[in-house]
Amino acid sequence: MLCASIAALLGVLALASSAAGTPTLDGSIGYSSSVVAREYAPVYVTLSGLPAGFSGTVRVIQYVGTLSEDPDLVINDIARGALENGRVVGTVAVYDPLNPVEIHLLDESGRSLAQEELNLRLFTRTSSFPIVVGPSLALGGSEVRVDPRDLPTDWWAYESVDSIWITGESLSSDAWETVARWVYAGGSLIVFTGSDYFRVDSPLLQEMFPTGLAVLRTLEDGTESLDLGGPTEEMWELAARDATVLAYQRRYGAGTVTLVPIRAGDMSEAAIRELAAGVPSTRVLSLARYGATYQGEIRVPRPPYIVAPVMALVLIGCAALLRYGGGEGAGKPHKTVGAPAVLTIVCIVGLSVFSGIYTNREKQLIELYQLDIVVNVQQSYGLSIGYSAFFAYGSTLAVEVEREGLSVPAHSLLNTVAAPVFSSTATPDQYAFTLQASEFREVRVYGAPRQLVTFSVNAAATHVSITNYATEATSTALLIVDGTMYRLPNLVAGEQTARLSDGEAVQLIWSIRSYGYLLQEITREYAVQDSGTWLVLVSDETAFAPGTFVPRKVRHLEVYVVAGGEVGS
Amino acid sequence: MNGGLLTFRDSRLSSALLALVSVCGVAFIFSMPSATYVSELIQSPFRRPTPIVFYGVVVLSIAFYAAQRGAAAVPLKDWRATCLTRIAVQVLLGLLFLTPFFIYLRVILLPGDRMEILWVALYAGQIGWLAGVAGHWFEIAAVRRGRETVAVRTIWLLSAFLLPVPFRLLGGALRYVMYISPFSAVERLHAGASPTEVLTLVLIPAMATVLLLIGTALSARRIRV
Repeated sequence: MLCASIAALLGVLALASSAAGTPTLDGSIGYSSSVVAREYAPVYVTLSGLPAGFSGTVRVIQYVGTLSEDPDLVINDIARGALENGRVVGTVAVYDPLNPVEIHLLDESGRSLAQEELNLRLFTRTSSFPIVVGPSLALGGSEVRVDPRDLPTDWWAYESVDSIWITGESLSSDAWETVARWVYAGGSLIVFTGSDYFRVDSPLLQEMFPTGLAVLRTLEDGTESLDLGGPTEEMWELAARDATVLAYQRRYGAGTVTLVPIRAGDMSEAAIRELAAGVPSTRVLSLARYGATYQGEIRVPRPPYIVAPVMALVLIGCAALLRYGGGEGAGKPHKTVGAPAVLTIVCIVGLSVFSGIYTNREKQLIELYQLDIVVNVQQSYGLSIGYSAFFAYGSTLAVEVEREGLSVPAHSLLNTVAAPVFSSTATPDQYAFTLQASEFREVRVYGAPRQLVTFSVNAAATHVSITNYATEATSTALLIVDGTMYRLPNLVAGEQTARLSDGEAVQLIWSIRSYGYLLQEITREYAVQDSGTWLVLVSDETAFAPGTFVPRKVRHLEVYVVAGGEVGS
Repeated sequence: MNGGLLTFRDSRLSSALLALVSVCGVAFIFSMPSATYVSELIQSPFRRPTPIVFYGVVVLSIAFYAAQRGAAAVPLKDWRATCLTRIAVQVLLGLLFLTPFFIYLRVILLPGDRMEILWVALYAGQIGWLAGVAGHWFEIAAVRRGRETVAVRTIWLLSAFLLPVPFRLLGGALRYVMYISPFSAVERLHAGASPTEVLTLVLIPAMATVLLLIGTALSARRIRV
């Protein structure tokens, strides 16, 4: 009996240990699986059955092209290293949602321990869509209801979202922070308040839409409405056809926050339709329009044409020397290899050596021209919007892009002139892909900004003290105080003080160097031109990329827009 | 001309070298990038530098040069090792004169570790030797028949360079006929051929040379008999 009991106990233990040792995963992509092709979407992977101290990779594999005709593989590693049971959240660019997407759990040797295949075909949208966080809301059928726990942690994961409607749910501080970054980048947020106000309110909502000492008032029909005490300078009313106030709107960065004073459930369908019509769509700053122009301004290194004629003349001289040099009438009827021939060989060897000496890195043929534009907005939380363009000619190139400080892989667009190969591998800090000969490819990159600059203006507004933590010098430095622009001397690394003089209207920012129009759009989008104190720094360098095997010339244009406190702070 | 392997007093050798260097110098200029800015590279494919122009002109001009040198060796009157060696030496002399262009091209226009220029030079040497032997063969036949050979030699060379090219439009095994043309062969070498492909491409003119020599030897024996 004792033996049987022990055997049974051992059997149960064995079963339990084998169950615990069988890793499983449960994955999903998008908002209730809704995705838009070629835009970012969140990925949720729930891991279970992992042993303690497990180290591996969570990999998302997408297929681009026809499955039966050797499709390209797009590989995104959304987590690497030590993994634990629980949820892994990442962000991937959805390339071809008509094909199934695979999620794999790999061990350190690359062996797949668990996998799941997701079919997004039925949930693919052709354009961005609104998401509703909280009780459902009828927005014409295009909306997707999302559980607050399923909100992403990367702000660019909202790329396929047209607007976020919060209908009475409270969000975690992480979710609010992500939403705030997205709104600042150009997103559109709608928050219903009324009797739910104190549930949805948070410090981050107050930063996006300061309500001050708002109070709830009961209307004639018994509904509770948030009373903001009338619109202030920074907000405006969104009125219905019958002139009643539907909502208050306020600009936050490049985006808009709409605060509805009553609960979603207290609003009629007609009013919701009117509200939806008055809510702006998301519009994130696009750098692609500057890409071709700025990349086109990179100079092509080229040896002077005179080199070829000079070499040809020297060689022709050698041939003539062989024909006519010496020997004639010297009593040598059949002159063979002699002094002229030796001289010829010396010339040829000399020319060959010269060609090698003449060349250095500056004169080499460049196979890959790369443009990077990075816009860092340093505000309460800040964000970074990046764009890269690659052009290769002559041969197929393997390209690797390292992104320091950015946590997402880049996203290829279908903007090519040659038959492209979309196979790519992305890890949290690197993106590798193949460029065909004569291919022009664009890449979007989003991320969190580097906190590189701090500054303060003295009380008399005559000097600005700046601490530049970056190692690179700037090409342009501007201080903008309430719509007046001051040109500063270029900054170097470390602390420095500059005097403010000869203020100009900020609208003239377009005239600054070749990137003036980019600065104009950035400052307009992020309300830098309107009011407040801002430091705008530009670093524009074109150089040969160090440490890369493929000769690559890179123009790196980085813009820092730094929000400052009040003058005198 | 009945001297050693290499005699510089031959005015036609100097002229041939002048022509070779001049033509390849012009081709070298066309291989350099004409674009000043990247926008010009993107907008116009004709403004991109490509060594293909230089490679194509090198194999064509070395073939004409060698065919002319092979024909000039006919006063030797018959096939002898001296004659074949003389053609080979003169082809090597032509390649020696082009060496600065090759090196400059390798350093300036072919970045990285791409070494296909070595295969192109080797292939050009093979094509030169084949053209030299063929030129010599044409000249011997013409001398025996008392006819002019320059036009025939030119037509044969251009046919060998141009006629196989359209086979690239065909599918299947017929497509590989295009590699008989040195233009297609150097294009393949430039695109990065595998070691097997390099060996095959270089062996084609070598085998053609051997077949030509065997055929000529058999023909000469028949004539003697």
